[in-house]
Amino acid sequence: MSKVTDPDLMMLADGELDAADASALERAAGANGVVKVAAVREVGDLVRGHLELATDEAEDRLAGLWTLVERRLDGGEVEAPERAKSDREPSASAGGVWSRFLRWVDGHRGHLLTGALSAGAVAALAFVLRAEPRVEIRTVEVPVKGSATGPDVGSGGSDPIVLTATPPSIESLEVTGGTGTLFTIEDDDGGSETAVIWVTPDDVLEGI
Amino acid sequence: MRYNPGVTKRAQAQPAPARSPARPAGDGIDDRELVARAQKGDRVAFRSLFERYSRRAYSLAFGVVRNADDALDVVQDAFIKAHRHLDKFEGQASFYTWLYRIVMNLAIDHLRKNRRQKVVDFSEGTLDEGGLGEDSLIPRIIGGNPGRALLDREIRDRIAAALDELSDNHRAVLVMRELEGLSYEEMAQVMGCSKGTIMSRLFHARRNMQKRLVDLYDRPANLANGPGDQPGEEDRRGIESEAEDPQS
Repeated sequence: MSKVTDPDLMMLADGELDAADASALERAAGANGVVKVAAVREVGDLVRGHLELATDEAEDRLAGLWTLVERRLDGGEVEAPERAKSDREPSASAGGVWSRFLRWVDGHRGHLLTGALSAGAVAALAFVLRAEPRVEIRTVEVPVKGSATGPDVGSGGSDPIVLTATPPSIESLEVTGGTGTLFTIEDDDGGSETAVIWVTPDDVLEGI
Repeated sequence: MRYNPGVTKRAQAQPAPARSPARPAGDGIDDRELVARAQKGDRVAFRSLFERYSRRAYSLAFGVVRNADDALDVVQDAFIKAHRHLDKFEGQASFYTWLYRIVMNLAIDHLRKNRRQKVVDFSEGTLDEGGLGEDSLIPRIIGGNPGRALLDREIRDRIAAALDELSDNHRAVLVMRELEGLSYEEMAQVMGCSKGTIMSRLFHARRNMQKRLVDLYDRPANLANGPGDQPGEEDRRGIESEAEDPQS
């Protein structure tokens, strides 16, 4: 055997080599090699011992586990496992609403994160695609004082027409595609006023 | 089965006797017969299998998921799953071989689902130059009786922390190997990867464990042994004398 490598020594420690290779490697291992083989086995002993002790500590809870398994078998094998009584973790009913909520959050962390990301994406999309603010103005045609009245008014004659809002419930406004002017005029009976919004579209020249 | 510091791995790997006072019928009956009965709907037979193997299943699960509650969940789920698919068990392998694969798969699934931080395997590839240099095994041992050393709470905590810090894959392979004594080939089948990958994971898992426990090697020999009880020193001498004369 030429060069003895650490993986070779590990295979020797794990019994992965056939008898001939194993004895050849043992002869060639040298001082360091022998200690390394012992070290590999020692790590194994420590890990195994640690797990055995941890299992001893859980023995009481393991003893109660069959009841939970049997309950699930009787109950149609529900998906979520019930938990054996834990010394470290309070039962699901203990610890108050907040701790139960935190446990629930802890158990659904992935779902919550997905939900939050989805909600954020929808909100961002809605913001980007939002409609321009629109002001809807209901208008009526009102003849100016002293001008002719009747169905023909504004249909082709030269009588001035104003657009009035009914009733005005705003003090200022922005008008898309034109200029809006807000003023008030006295009503015919003189007892009240009507707010008037004069709208001049951008593409309409004044007076035409 | 209680942990006995002096008992060897193979002896510990024997099926644990049931501990429950209300023990179901089944003691002395071999697994095949219990499985056959359970397949016909005999709940008592299935309980016998549970009591025979739940402890070993828990050790395996705990070694992988590193949390008692989660390990109990895994064991519970494993037996439910085993019961559900018992009709598919043909008896070519032993019942426990079949069961530990279920436990292992569930434990690994559990880690995937609940992973909050991922330890990245920088050593997932093949072994380079036989693991020499910086990544080589440390030719040191704590010495003495490791079982007794484990009675020292601090050492146990150190080992627990070192296991926690391994990546999931490294830890799973190490636990399978040390607890169940699986061959590289068997582990490759369970983990669904190549034998070379298993070797690499196992090598680096051990190397990382050694690195994290390195200061224990510098402590006085056999730190957990009581006064006048120095088998560790003897063991150390034995190993050193072997090391001096590899032909012996």
